[in-house]
Amino acid sequence: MAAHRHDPGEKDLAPRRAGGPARSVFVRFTLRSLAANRVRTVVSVMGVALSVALIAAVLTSVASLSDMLVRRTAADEGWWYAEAAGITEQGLEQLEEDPEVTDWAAVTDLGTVSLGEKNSDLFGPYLYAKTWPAAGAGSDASEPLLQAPELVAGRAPEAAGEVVLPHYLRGAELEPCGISTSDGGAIQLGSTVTLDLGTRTVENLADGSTYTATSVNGSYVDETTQRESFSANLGRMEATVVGFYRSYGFSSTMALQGNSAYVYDDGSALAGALSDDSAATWASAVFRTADPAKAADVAAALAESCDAAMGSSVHSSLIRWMGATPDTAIWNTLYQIAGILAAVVVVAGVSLVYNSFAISVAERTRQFGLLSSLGASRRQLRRTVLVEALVIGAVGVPAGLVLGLAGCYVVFGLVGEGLAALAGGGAAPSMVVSPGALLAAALLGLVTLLVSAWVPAVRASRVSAVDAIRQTQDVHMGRRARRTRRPALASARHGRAGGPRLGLAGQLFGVPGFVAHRNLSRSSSKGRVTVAALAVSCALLITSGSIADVMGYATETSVDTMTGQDLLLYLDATGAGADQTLALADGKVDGHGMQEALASFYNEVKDVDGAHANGYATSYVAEVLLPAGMATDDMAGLEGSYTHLADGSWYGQAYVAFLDQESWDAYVDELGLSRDEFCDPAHPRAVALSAYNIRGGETYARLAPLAAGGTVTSLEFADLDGRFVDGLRDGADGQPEAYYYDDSGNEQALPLDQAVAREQQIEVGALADHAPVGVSLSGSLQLVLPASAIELADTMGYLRASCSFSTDGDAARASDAQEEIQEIAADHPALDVTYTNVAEDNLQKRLMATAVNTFIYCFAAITGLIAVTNVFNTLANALILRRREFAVLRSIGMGGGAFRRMIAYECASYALRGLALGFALALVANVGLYEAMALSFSTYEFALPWPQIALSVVAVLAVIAVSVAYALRRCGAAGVAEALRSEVL
Amino acid sequence: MDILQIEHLTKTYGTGGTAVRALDDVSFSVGAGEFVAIIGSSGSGKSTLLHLIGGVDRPTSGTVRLNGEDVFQRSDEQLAVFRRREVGLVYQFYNLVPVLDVVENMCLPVLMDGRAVNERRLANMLHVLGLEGREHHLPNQLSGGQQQRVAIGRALMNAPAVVLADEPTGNLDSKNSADIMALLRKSNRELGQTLIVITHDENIALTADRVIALEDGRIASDTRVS
Repeated sequence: MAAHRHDPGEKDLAPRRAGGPARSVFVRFTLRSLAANRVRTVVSVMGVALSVALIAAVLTSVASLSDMLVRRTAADEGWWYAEAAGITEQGLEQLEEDPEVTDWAAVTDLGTVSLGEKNSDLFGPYLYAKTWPAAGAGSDASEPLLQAPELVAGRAPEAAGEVVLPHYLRGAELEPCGISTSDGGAIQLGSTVTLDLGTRTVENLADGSTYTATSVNGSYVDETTQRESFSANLGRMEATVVGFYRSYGFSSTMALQGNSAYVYDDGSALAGALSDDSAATWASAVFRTADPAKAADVAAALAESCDAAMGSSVHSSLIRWMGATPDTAIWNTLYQIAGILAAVVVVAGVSLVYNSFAISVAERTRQFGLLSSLGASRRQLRRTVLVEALVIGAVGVPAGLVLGLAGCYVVFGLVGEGLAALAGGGAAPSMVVSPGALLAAALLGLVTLLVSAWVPAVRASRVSAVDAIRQTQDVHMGRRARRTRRPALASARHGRAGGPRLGLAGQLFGVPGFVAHRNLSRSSSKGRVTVAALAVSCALLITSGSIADVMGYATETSVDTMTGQDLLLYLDATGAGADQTLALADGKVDGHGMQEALASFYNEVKDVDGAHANGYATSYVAEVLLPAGMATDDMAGLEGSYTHLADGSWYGQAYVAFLDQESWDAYVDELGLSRDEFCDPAHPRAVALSAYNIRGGETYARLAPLAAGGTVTSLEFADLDGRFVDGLRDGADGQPEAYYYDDSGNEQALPLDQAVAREQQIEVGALADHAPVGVSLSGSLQLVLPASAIELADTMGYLRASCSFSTDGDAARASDAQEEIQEIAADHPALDVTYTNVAEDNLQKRLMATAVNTFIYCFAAITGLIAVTNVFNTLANALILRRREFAVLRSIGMGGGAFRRMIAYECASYALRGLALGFALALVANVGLYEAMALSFSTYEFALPWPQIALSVVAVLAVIAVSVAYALRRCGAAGVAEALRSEVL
Repeated sequence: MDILQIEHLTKTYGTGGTAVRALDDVSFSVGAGEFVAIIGSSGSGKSTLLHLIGGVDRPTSGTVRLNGEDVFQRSDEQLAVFRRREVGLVYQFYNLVPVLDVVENMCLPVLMDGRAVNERRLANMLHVLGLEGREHHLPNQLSGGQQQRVAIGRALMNAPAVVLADEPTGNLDSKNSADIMALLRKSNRELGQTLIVITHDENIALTADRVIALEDGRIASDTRVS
C-alpha cells in the first residue's frame, strides 16, 4: 500500500482495469511460473491445505464436542433455555407473544401435601402435587423442553385421576397424614390414594410477616426465627397410582424442584393455578428462543411478571455449551483451546507459505524487473503475486477442508468412546460439520495466505528494471562481516595486497570450508531464514512430543494407582442399608460381631467367578500416644494434628487396619517377619508404616516419621460436661494435660490421667515401608493388625470395612462379579455394601487418555509436518537459487567431492545452529510445561525429553538430507553448461 | 605444435524429435600461443564448442585433445582438476561468486588446487587489471568492466595453457571492451597463452590470428588473418 501511495502517477499510467488480454498475460505469467516450479507450488498448496485442515479439524472437534455436551446436558436437564417460575397471566401472555420464543411448556403446582410429623423422618415433610411435564407447545419431541422424571415402576399419568409418586413411597405404609390409601394399606401400583392439598405458611417471628413456602423456596425454614404452619385448604384429590419415579428432591429447574406427586394435566391446571389467588398454586414456564443468546433477555423481561420469590432463570449449564453464556467474560474453555491451537497453526502456516512466496519472488526478481521495464505498474506486479496466492488458495483451501473433515471423521471413529468418557460417560459424540467452523477455517487459511504473500508481493513491485537487468545478486554484508574486513582494507590501502585469508574454516576444511564459510557469513540473512525454519521445527517436534508425554503421564498417573483392585467393596454396619444389628450407640460398631459378619460374608464371596479376592480390612481411627524415641520430627508432617510433648512423646491420630488372618499372614511373610512372633493371637503385634508420600498444596514430601517400634497407647478420652477433648499439650507442671473448649470458646484443661477414660497398649513389633494390598494410606500414621486383635479396637472409632477383588483390569468381569456378590450380600442384612468398579473407572480413564493423546499426537504430527515442509522448502530453494553460482564453481574447477564438502559444511552449520536454537526454545517450553505440571502433579519430575530430542534431531537431519539431495539433483540435472548459459530469466 | 586438437566433435541436446544438433562433426586444431576468434550467428554452436573445450560439458561424440591428451577420458573429478589447471574461462556475464571478494574470487582456482597463492603474481595481476584498492570489494560493489577484469584475473591466475572467452566484451561499453581485449591480447602475447574468443565484434575478430566461422554447428570457414 505504501509503495502504491509513493507513486502518484501510477494509477494514470497503469491501465485501471487491465482489459482482457493485458490481465490474462499476468494470469498466464503466474500460472506458468507456478507450473514451472511444481515442487514449490505443491509445497505451498500443502502448507495452506495442512493449515486449513488443522483449523477445520480443531474447530469441527470443538463444534462436535460442544454438540455432545449440549446433548448430554439436555438429556439430563431438558432443552429449555430459560425459565419463568411463578409466572402471572400477564407474563404468560407476554411469553406467548414474544417472537423470539419458539416453544414453551409449563408445570403447574396444584398445592402442597403434608406427610405429617411422624412420616417426615423417613419420607420428608411434604410432597408437591404437580402436573407431569409434557412436551410444550410447538416443541420437538426429540428435544423435549423438560426431561420427564425417570420411572422406576409403572408408567406416566395418561388420564385424569392418575398419579406418579416418588420411588421411596413405593410399598410405604404411612402414619395418618395428607396422603392416604383407600384400603389403608401400603402404597402400591394401582392403589387409590387421596391427596389433601394445602398451603405452607411461614411466619417470621421477628415482625410477624408471613409468606407461602413452595417447593422452590421452602427447603430452609429457620426454626429459631421462623414458625411454619400448614393448612389443608386447597381441596382433596383422589387418584390411582400408576407409577413411581426416581426422586432426587432436586432439579435443575424450579418447575421440577422438590419431591412431587405428579398428576395428569388435562389442560386446565395452568389457567386454574394462575387465576386463583392462592400463592401455593403456581406455575413455571420453561421456554426456548431461536437464538440461545437471547434467552437471558427474554427471561429478564419476564422476571417482572413473575412471583418475586421465584423469578426467572437461565439454563446456563446448557447454553454455555452453545457459546451463549449470559456472562460474556466467561467464554467456553473449549473455544479458548481451539483459539490457541488455531493461532499456532496460523503461525506455522504463515512461516511456511511466507518462505515459499519470498523464495518465489526472489527467484523471479529479474522477471519482475523485465516486466517492470516493459511497463508493468507496481500494482500489476503486486497483483501477479497475489493472483499466485489466490490460485494456491483455490486448490489448497478446499483440499484442506476435505482433509480436515476426513481426519476428524477418522479420529472421532477411533476415540469417540474416550471423548464420551472425558465428558463424563454417555453416548459417543457424533461429528458435527458446522458451516461456521468450515468458513472460519477457510477464512483463516486465506488470511494465512494473503499475509504470507503480501510482503513478497510488495517486494516484487519494488524491483527496479535496472537492478533486475544488471543481474546483481543480493549480497549484503552483515555488520560482523564488515568489521572483520576493515583490517584487510587497511592493508590493501597500504599497498600490501596479500592473498585471501582462509580463516579457521578454510584451514580445517580447505577451500570448500572457506567458500562455505564466506557464504554463511556474507549471505547470512538467507541463512537465518533456514536456521529459523530448522529451529522452529525442532522446537515444535520436541515440545509437542513433550506435551503428549505430559498428558500421558497425567492420565496414566490417575489410572495406575489401584492395580490389583478392580472391584472395591465398602462394608458398613451403621448405614441405612444395614439392619443395625451391629451398630452400637454413638456411631460405634460391635467389633467382634462385625468381624464375624465380615468373615462369614467374605467366605461366601471370596470364590466368586472370574475374580480374585484380596482379603478384607476394617479400619478404625485411634487417638494415640507414641513414647519418646519412637517418632522422628517427620511425624509433624503427617495429617492428624500431631503434638510433640515435652516428655518426648507424640500425641495424634492413627489409622488402624485390622486384616483378615489370611491377608495378615501373607503380609507378615512378605515383610520377612516371623509368624511365631506376629501371628500369635494371645500376643498381638502391630506393623507400623514408616514411609509416607505426603502432598500438601503445591509441595510434595516423602516422610519417615518412625525411628523404631515401641508400645503405642490408644486413648479413649472422657468427656467434660458433654464436651469432647480438643487436644493434648504440656501443662504448667510439665505434665501432659488434655484441654477442652465449651460453647463460648472458654478453655478448660484436665491432667492426662483424669481425661483418659480407657487406654490400651498396642505393641508395634515392626516397621514396614509399604501397606498391604487393600489398605490405602490416608496421610495419617497407619498401623496394621490382624483381625484376631480386634479387642484393641475397643478404644477406637470405627471408620469402615473394605474388601477388594482383582479381575486383572477387566471391567466386564468386575461387573459380573459385582452382580454375583450383590446376590450374596442380600443374605447378610447386617452389612450395607457399596460397590466401586475401579476397572470400569480405569477403563474410562484409559479411553480418555487415548482420546487426549490421539488429538495431541495428530496435532503434533501435522504441526511437525508443516515445520518439516518449511525446512525442506527453505533449504531446497536456497540451494536451487544458487544453481548458477554452483555452476561457476564447478566450471572453474571445483571437484564433485569438494563441492559436496562445501554443501555439507553449510548444512552442518545450519543444522547445528538450528538445533541449538530449537533446543533452547524447546527447553523454555519444557520448563514452562514442567512448572504447569508441578502445580497439579507433585510427583512429576523434570527430565529432558531425550526421546523427543533424539527424534527431532533425526527428523531435522533427515529433512536436511532430503532437501539437499533434491536441490542438488535439480541443480545438476541441467548440467553445468546449461546453468551457466541460463540467464536466470 | 598444435596444443589443441578437436576431432569430429558432435553435441546433441535432447532426444528424438526434439533433438537439436548444436555441434555437427567439427574438427580443427589450434597451435600453441595462437589467438583464435570464433564467430557465428546465435545458435550456431559457438558456446557449446567453448564449453566442450573447457571441459564444462561432455560431447555426444568426438574428442578434444589438449597437449595430446584426450580431455574426456578423464573422470569427473579429474575433469575438475583439468578445468582449474589447464583452462581459464571468461564469460559474458562475469560469473563471479557473489559472496567472495575480488582477491578471493581471483584466487579460487589456485586455492582449490591446494596450492599457495603467489603473492607477487597476485599483486602484479591486480596492478595490470587496474584493481588495486578494490581487493576486498564484493562483485556487486564493482562496475561491469571491473567485474569482467576480476573474471579475467581468475582465468589467468593459474597460468592456464588455454584461455577461453565467451563474448567477454558483450556486456561492456567500447572503452571497457578495448581495455579487456588489450588485457587478453597482452597475456596471449607476453605469456604465450593460447586464446580462443567467441565474439560478435568484427573489430575483435580482425585482431585475431585466425577466425573460425560456425554455421548450424559446422565450420563454415577457417581463415587466417594476416
